[in-house]
Amino acid sequence: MTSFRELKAYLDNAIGWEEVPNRSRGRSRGGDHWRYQKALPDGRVLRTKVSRSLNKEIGPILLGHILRHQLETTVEEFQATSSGQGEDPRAVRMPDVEPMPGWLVMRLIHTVGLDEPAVRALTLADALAAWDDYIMRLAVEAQHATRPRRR
Amino acid sequence: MTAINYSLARDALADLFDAAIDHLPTQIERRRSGEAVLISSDDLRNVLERHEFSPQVYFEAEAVSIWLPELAVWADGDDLVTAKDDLIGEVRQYVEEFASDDRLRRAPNHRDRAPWVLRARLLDDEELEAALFAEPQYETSGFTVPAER
Repeated sequence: MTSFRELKAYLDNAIGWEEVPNRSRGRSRGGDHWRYQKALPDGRVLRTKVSRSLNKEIGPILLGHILRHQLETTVEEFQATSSGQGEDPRAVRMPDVEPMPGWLVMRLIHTVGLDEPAVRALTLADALAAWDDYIMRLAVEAQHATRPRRR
Repeated sequence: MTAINYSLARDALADLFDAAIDHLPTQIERRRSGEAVLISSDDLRNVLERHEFSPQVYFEAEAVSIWLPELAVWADGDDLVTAKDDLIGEVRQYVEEFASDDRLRRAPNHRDRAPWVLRARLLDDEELEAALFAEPQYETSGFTVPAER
């Protein structure tokens, strides 16, 4: 696994990255990061952050997003620049898992009533099916409620 | 929409403000500077509603991560609640950087994010959380996430 220490080492070693002020101080967690930017010759600006908990590991999926969308680097370059302390680049997995849309997570927890471990255990397809089942059940119940009773 | 030049607008600001509140925005033009629109914040909120957020939640082995493609920011936490709080902090951080950093605001890979930034600016934390995790309403509206490389 890769830790924030390696991410910080990459940003300190790679050319062009500069630390920028943290503007979300005062929030419970938002201020617990170093912020970095890199200006590219074409005018684009890359930006990322590093947790101050340097020993904390970065999940492989999140790391994939950071490398691809924020650092715009490859696993190999990242490993080499962040000091090449022997980790096999192939051990770092780029995102290959379908994410769960945020709205769906919230619906399953706050509307359907599942708890976080239950949602965590679902695949995206199962999560969508659980939401569809819930909507269907509501529709059937509404239909029963409005049907005139026979005497 | 009514259009008026800058000098006239300055003299008629009170009337233009009342008109904006009454859902009649005014375009104000200034030579060599471009155009701006005086619009009520309620109308602006309505216009920006179509710029939806689509956070992607990843349940990793010992953490929850959230990637927000509209602003290209990430958040994480030990559980969903802390990750969500971190995401709101990240959005606020981005909004502040966007406002204070000319280079970032004008960068080709950031300037198209302005509507999402503006939308976030108009919302308090509770409203922002609701907007971030709202069910999509405008799937066919044709709005696209800023290009990522």
